[in-house]
Amino acid sequence: MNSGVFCRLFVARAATPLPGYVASIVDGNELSLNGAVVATLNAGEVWTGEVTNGDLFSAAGPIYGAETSSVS
Amino acid sequence: MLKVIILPRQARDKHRESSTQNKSDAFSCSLFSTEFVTASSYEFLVFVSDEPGTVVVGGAAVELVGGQGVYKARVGQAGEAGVRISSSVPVWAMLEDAATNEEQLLFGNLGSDPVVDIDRFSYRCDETALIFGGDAPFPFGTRSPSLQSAQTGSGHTEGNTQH
Repeated sequence: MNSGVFCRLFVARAATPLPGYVASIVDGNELSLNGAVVATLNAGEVWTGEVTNGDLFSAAGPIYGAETSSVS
Repeated sequence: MLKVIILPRQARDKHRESSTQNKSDAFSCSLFSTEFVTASSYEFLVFVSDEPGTVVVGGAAVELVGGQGVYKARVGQAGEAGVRISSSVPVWAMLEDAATNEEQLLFGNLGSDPVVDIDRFSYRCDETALIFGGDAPFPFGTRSPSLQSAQTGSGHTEGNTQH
C-alpha cells in the first residue's frame, strides 16, 4: 500500500470564510488543512469548519467536500 | 471511450424545487463513483448511471431504472450528514442541500472499485486537485493553488459510521 496524500480538495471561491464540510469515504483517513492535521475520520464522519479562498484539504483516502455559500 | 452523462431535462424538471436556480453538472462516466458519504443534511438524492443497478442509502436499497443507457433513482427521504451510500454500479449523484435548497454534485471514490484498493485509487487521484465552491466549475485537472493563510482550530467532526 502506498502512503502519502492521494486526494486533495481546493477551495476555489470563498472570499469570506464560509461553512465547509469534508466527509471521508474510508476508515482511518487522516485529513489535513493547509498541511496541518485537523482530524482522522472514519467512513461517514464529517469535518466541519470555516473555509476560505485557497484552502487546501488533503487526505490519504477518498474524501468529499462542499461549502455552503447561501441560505435561501 | 469518454462518455459524459447529463441529467435529462425531464428529470431536472421533476426535481425542481424552491431555489431560484437549478443546475445539473455534466460528469464523465469514467469519474462516476460507487461509494459516497453525504457531507451535509439533505432533502433528497438523485442517482444516474449508464447501466442498471442498485444503490444503498443508509441501508435502504433503491433500483436504478430506465433504459437506453440512462438509469435513474431518486431517494426522497431527507437525511443527515454522514450517510454512507454504496452502489452496485458507478453512478453520477447529487443531493439537495437542506440548508440552502441548492443542488450539489456528489463525488465519491471516483471510479475506484473496490474502495479499499488504495493503489488503484492513488493511480486515479494522485496529483489531482478537486475544486469545489459556489458556482465554480468542477475541473479534474492538476492545479497549483497558491495557499493563503492557514486556518486551524475551527473545525470539528461529526457523522456516523452506520452503513
